[in-house]
Amino acid sequence: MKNIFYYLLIFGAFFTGCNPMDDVYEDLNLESKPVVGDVVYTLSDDDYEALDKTYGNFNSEDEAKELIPDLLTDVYPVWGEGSTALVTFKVYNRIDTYEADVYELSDEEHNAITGNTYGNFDRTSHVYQYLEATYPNAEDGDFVSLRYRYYSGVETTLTDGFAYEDGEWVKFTGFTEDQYEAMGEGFPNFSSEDEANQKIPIALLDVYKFDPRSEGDIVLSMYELYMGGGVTRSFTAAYVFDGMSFEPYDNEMNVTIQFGHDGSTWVPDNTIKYTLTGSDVTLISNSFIDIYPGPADNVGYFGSFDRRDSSSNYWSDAMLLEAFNVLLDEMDPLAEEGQKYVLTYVIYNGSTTNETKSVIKTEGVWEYQ
Amino acid sequence: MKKTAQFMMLAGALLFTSVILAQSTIKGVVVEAGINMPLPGANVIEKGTTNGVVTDFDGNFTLETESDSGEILITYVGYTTKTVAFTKDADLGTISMESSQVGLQEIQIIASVAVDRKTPVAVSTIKSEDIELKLGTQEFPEILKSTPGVYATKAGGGYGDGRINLRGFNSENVAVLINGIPVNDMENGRVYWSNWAGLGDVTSTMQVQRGLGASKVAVPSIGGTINIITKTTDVEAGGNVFTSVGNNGYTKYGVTYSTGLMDNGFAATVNAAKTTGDGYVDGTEFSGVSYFLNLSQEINEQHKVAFTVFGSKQRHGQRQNRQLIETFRNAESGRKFNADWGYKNGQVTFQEDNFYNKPQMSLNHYWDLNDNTSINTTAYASFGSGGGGGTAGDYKFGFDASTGKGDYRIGNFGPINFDKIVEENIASGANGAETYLRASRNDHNWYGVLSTLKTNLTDDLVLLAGLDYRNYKGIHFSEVTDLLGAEYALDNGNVNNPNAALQVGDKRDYYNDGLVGWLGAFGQLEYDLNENFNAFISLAASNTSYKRVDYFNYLDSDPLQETDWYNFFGYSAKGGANYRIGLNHNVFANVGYFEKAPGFDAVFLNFSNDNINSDAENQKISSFELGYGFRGEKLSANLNLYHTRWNDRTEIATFQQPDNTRASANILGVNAIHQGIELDFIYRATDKLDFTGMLSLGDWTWDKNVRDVRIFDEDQNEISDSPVNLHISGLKVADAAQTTMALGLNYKISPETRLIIDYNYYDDLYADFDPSDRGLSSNLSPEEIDEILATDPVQTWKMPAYGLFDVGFTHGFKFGSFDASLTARMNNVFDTEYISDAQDGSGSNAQTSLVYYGYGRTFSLGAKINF
Repeated sequence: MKNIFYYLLIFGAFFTGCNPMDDVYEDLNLESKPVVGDVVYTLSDDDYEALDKTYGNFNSEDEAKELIPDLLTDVYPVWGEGSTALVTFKVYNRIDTYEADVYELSDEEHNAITGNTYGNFDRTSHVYQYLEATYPNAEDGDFVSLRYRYYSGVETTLTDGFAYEDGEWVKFTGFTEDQYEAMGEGFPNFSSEDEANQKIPIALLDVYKFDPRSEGDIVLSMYELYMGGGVTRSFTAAYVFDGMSFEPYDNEMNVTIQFGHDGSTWVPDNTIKYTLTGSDVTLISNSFIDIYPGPADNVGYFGSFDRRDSSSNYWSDAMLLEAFNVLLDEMDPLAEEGQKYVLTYVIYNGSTTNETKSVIKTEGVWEYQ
Repeated sequence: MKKTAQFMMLAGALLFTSVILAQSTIKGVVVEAGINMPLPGANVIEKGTTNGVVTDFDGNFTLETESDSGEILITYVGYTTKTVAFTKDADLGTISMESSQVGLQEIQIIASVAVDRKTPVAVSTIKSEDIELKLGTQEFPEILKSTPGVYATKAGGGYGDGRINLRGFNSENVAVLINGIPVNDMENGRVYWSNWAGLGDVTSTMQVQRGLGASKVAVPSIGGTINIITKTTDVEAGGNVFTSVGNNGYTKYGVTYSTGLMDNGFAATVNAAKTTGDGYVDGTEFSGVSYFLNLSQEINEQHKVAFTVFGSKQRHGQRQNRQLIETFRNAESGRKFNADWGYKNGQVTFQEDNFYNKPQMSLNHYWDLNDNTSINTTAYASFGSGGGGGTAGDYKFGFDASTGKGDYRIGNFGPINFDKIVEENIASGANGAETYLRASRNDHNWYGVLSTLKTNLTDDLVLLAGLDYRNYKGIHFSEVTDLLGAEYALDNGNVNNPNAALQVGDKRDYYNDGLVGWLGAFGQLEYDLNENFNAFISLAASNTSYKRVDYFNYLDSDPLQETDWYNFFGYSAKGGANYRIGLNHNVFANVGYFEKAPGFDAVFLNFSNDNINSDAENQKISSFELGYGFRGEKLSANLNLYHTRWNDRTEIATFQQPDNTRASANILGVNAIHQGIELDFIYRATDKLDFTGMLSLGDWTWDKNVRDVRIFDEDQNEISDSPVNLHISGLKVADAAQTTMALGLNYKISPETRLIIDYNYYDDLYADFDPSDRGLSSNLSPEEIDEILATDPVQTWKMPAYGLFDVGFTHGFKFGSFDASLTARMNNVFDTEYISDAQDGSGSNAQTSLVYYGYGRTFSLGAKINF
């Protein structure tokens, strides 16, 4: 009797020594999957310090693109291919400021340009003609502040600054007398820089009421201070819009760039990850009902793309791409060349599950990456 | 050591005693009454002694008695004990054992139970005493897994979701009869084992007849017939209580009681059991109550009536969606991973589940007109109610196959976060549900009458003839089961009530009836020339009629809402003969041909009433088989060779006509050949130790390509998708192991204690596919088609072969004054990891196949007390 058990044991050991799945697992060569994460990240002061950027900003966007991947690798050491990081950082972006005493144009100076006798300008080009005539040898960095009269139905007095940059006169729009008055000033100037910085942001909201700025936009402005002794001096200043209000610009620009993990490192990447919704599928179903009646009807009914190549309702890769073109052109018509999308959608391949494909906009159409 | 010496002396003394005192030699043959089937393994004991033997494979025994006169007792589980007196040496001849179950013999006639060495078909029978020990917590069809030609799996692993293929054919082509009543779904022929969960408790025998089988009625026995005979009513009064526990919270308890056959001829048996558990696979919690009642009344010598009702009301979570191997590998739960469940408000909530209750009732009338003639009739009815749960609205349940991430998953590869869906539905407010749960209901009402006349025309010739009437109504609809927090669900499925705001319980999406009528007649002649030679021929014919009513897709005013009846005629003819060569050998042969009517869905295409395939083709099956049996003193073996040809498997092309209506064409020539060799044996090494074994080598392939079938519309214009080409020649039939092997050991440690070890091995198993999917594109040129068809088609993914060990142990003992027993069972003892089911994917490889893993190690322990 004992022998029988021995035989069975040997027999059992023989048959169980080999795991039926071993060969399959070896063939499949299933590597452990990377951790995939998506993060919205704003660099902290510590981050700049860690990157030896002691001023708390990057010199340029290119420098940021070069340094940030290492930072991301440090912060997210186990993240791998397919991860994304939407990173916001500061770039040093100096905007030169100017100052000059205000020069008020005489009637003759106006008339010399217009050839009339009204003592004012009535075209926007007149002031530039004046500048070119008066300062034929202007050099980069030259700045003048002009008080001139402008006729457009009624005559108003304007005070604007003009800086000569890269061979051109760039205008810094100053405040009009009415605007100063609205800011509670009896004369068209401020008493101090502090007062200017306090009132101008509020005034700018009004200035750009009908021409709204976006978050991060920088606007140039100019204001006057009375220096005494009949001298009024103009100062230029830049303000940055933070979405709600204008703040004095401190020569740092916020830049947001998306990085993606390519399997070995982080690279700048504009990919948008998107999961198709029920209404997206309805849109596709409706758009293709005449072109692919079976598959379009099927996806509309089940909400999943039939991906069994044997099925009469099969959505081939090519058909799916057509569908993505319709969808993305509808969803993101202004997408730039090179924009990438990673699309996730429900499929049926015998089971109901998800599938993901990457597309990129190339010469105006969406193609598989 | 001392004990061993004592034992040896005692054994020696006993041995001498029996030799010295032997007084008489008694011989006999023990058979089962009625069908005269030999009963191997019956206990034959000299009354008042421990002196006994067991019968051999042919029911023979020889007993040396201690006294020269007295009585011998013959016992066998499931039969009433027989006492026979003897004096001196005697040949007691044939001793018939009456079943301990009232009416069992008559049922066996209705059910066409095959008799070993007589009925010329390949057959394996499992008796109730083995069922309990072999089954444990397995799926019911898995009892048969050690028999040749069988591939049984748990499929997704939910309670009652098991399946069985016979000789490579799936359930549509395997006839299942319970007490002779066909239970294959009337519309499309499938068998749902969850309807019969708990049936194992009340099964008397389970017989699998491979190939055409012995059934007289027309049944789809292409692969074979599974003939389940329930217990009826015990002759003896008494009962039992039983309970078992197992892995993953498996708990079962139940009770059986029989009044016994009372003086007034009445007997009743009732059995009920409740089973609950969490399921081996994640999210497959289940709960079921099974019930069985049998009432019988002997009216007089000639008439006996019996009423039986049984069924199981159950609900269980399912693993419906197969997954990539990669997914199982990456998921924390491994092979137990199931994507189809989640949590709602802290409770397990199923995305996919199943609930059903199908009481099967029958009233049997047994009428012995005279010694030669009897009529056995069963009138039956069953009312199925239930269906399968699933989702509706936006599909939010997806996840990434490799990372397991999903927006509505709790963690990677985690359960579904139903709470998030509920929140979104609440936020959706008056806009209704984004996602909700529904059930696809598949109710039915089924009535039938099956009547068999048996008459001995002469001493040699027996005629069996009968009628088979069935009436079936399938009621199909989808209903809202859980709005998941939404105010309502918008549905536009009903043209009679478009854009409806639905509440729980409202019908949605579809609602239709499938009506099936069936009228069949059969006749069989059995010719018993002598003990050694018998033959039979059998004919059956049936008319199947179908009608469809669609309440949702057609206006109530539209005459198309209800179709006409469509009739299909099927028939079968078979015959066979068995010849016994001496005491030890027998050979048999059988041959048959039958035509099987197309299924309901092959007639009403695309679930519609305006695309009716009124001349759907019959499927044609021809089969022949040779068998050899050996019955020796120690060895019993069977060898079978079979060849089954299945022609014109239903294949339909549908196409658009110029007027935009759809039409269909029947494509002929999708044929399969299933042939093979089956060997099974029992080797009785000692009185206590049996070895069993089985080897089944199948060669099942799709026969030839379908080439250049041209399809024309009504105007005789060839349609654009024509011609049809299917590239299938030589493709292996999938979804069942073509090679199976089993080895078993059955050791009676004591008369009350038994140990069994079973090893099963499965090989040549291919991932499932549909040959219809191997069509060639109509864009190809005829030359390109020729070129492709000349090559061998790509086989589907060959799944890894696997082998599993099971162990069972039972021990009987006295519990106070009661007989009690403990049964323990462990399946997959070595916790082998294996894939039991696979669906082929693109490229036909392990990367793309969608699979179910089988269970790892499971166990159960049961106790039963008889009173």
